[in-house]
Amino acid sequence: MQQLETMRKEDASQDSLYEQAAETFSSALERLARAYELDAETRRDLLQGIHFQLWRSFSKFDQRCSLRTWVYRVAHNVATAHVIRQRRVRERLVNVEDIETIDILANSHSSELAISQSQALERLSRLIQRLKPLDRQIIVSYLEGVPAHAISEITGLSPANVTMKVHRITKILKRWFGEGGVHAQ
Amino acid sequence: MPSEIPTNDLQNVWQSQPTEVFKMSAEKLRRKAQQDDRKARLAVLFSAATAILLFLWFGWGFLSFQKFQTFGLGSFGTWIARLGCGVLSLWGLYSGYKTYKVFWPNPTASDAGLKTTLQSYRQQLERRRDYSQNVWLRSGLIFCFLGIAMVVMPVLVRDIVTPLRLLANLGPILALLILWLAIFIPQRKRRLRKLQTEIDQLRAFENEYQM
Repeated sequence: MQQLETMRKEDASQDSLYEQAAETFSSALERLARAYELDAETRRDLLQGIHFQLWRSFSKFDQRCSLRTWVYRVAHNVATAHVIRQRRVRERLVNVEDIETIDILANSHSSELAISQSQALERLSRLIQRLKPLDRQIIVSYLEGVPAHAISEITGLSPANVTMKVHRITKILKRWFGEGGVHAQ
Repeated sequence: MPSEIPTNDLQNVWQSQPTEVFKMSAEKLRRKAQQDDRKARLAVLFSAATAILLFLWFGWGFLSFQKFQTFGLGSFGTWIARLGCGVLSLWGLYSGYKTYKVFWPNPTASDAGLKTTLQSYRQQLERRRDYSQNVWLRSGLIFCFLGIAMVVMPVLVRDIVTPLRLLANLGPILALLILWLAIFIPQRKRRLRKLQTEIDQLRAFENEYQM
């Protein structure tokens, strides 16, 4: 009887943690799914998978890290597993340092001119889609405004490594999106 | 996009993407978990049922020795054929167990780090590669062929004096064997090559963490 009561309490805590996370990070999770999957239908499946694993993971959430770190860690792992299982996609992935050597920039000659937000978003999505898992986790976390120490917790890299990577990524982004910056449309 | 979004800020551009509200109720998630568990249990049950069926079928062959006597195999031939059935029966159990052990997915904890996710998936592929490389031993194919040979040989020996009958009995078996080998060997080679490429790629990803 007592065991049943404990199980019920655990279930309720798992559900309420999930509901809290879904409420707070719903949009962020959808953006994260977009960073990993272009096709809308497959993306919906991926998003469903992320939510499902998130709910499952809360049965062992021990509060040793923040809710945000936990949510991003689970979500990135589900999404990464989705990408690395697709051989054709995986073969085309590059490091962020090599992004400029590939055809992705072929139609992007507007570095000195300001570009619109929709153009910027499209370009950003194209860039992210070609990155290897680690760089993708870092760039998406950075764009979501996650601080370096939290990115380090999410990825398992040392804070120094994350700082170095973020620095490289911001430098590349600046070069990629040009001096003119992004203008609102 | 709304014009109040600050310019020159990719973080804002990224975060201001339009999104839909996506939410699943805890009840729906619980139902999905139950469905997944049921599916997994069914897969195990199917593989166990196939193994048990093979075990019983050949086990029955091993026990019903009168059946072999009606084929006119002689007492030595009967015993060899019966033993062959016994070998096949045990192989049925063994292969069922092995298939379950190798192919049963080993889920990684969803909160594990990226390195663990990559490592776990690579190890899963490596287990499949090793299984394919040593498929004759690992899946007990040697015992399967030994069992078949033990069942078939006494019949062939019996017919050795009548070459036409021998050919009629041996022909289909040989044709099947050649066809199976012609499909199995290239397929195995292709699968091994594919698995190795995947493993190498995952290793390259993992190496990025050693910096």
